[in-house]
Amino acid sequence: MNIRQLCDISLKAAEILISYGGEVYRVEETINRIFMTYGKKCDSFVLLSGIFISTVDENGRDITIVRRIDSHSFDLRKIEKVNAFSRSLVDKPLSYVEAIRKLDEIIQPERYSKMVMTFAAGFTALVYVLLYNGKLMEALAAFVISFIAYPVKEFVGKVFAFQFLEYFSGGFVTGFLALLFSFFFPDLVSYRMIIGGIMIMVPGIAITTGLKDALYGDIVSSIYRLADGIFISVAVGVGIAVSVAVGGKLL
Amino acid sequence: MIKIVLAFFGSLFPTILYNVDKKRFFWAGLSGVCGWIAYDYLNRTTGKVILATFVGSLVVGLYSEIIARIKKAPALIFSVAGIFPLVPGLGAYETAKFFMENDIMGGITKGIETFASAGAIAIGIMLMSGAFKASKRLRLKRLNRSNRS
Repeated sequence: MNIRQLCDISLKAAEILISYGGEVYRVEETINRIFMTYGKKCDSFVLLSGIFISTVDENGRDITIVRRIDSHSFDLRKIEKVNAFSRSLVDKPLSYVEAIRKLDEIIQPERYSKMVMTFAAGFTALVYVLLYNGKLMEALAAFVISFIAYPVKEFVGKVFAFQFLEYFSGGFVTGFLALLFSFFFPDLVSYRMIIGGIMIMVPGIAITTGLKDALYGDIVSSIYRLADGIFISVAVGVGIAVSVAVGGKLL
Repeated sequence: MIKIVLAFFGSLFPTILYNVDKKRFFWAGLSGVCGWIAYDYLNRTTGKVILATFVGSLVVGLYSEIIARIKKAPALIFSVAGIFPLVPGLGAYETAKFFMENDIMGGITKGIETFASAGAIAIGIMLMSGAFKASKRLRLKRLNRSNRS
């Protein structure tokens, strides 16, 4: 395997990791580990918006490769698979063609169906209403609320490609439906349904990866991620506040 | 007891939204259970919510680092799942509500409380993975020394 091919493999692995929510230290470690497996050395520098690898080729010339990363989403399954891939390389180095084929396999989208995810969102809301001492009827109402709010949020996110609006609409729909439920069934308390409903919009990964980045000294990426988490929470909060204010006037 | 089951499913269902592999479901759910038991016990005995949240997230951090090493999977999967039952959802909601009702003081009080809970989760998780990082480094150092001699 020559240096070019090695760069190709490690760039591809790094790209998957960083665009699906991997921590920065994990990405740098993966690049270095892949190089080390084949007995080469490199310097890697990773930001959320780009990957930089610099190394020396067979003729003693410097090679530097920059890859710009545009899209970010969360897919923990891909992180796990790339992790397993780089571990397996250490045990048994693969040839270039094999390694690229394996990474192409990982890149293929492998998601739960929309139905399963919507049901998962509904059940999340249901469970949390019960966990916060809600009544069974409230929990069922929250199930319906999230069952509607989650697809709406996903749809808005896809159409507008605008994160604030996505979470705002999620919060708005949740709050509004909860008010409707408590209007038609006065013994249901709206705030318990809202709390259950917003659990699907908690920025869990943004916060945990942001913290891990901070721990390893990657402050730029960490601040980006934590700010992302805060913006999401604010968007949801504003959505709920607006729906409660508007709904309170109407109903 | 019923709440422990709820905490299990409360950590499991959100992981589906993050597209976690099926074979990690059980361990992700258990992460939430461990955190919840610690949180609930402390919250009931001492009544200090933020302390309880902190200890809960310490437990989640410890659990996910250990399971990550046993299962050879990123610790991220388990810690993301585990913090869900500890998230201060009620506080966040009340903060927004106070501000909407023009009760600024109430909003600030509640907001700081919520922020402190979130910070407690953060520091708990960070402390644990920091401890594991340090122990790994120590082990490496010892290994290097024994190799040289």
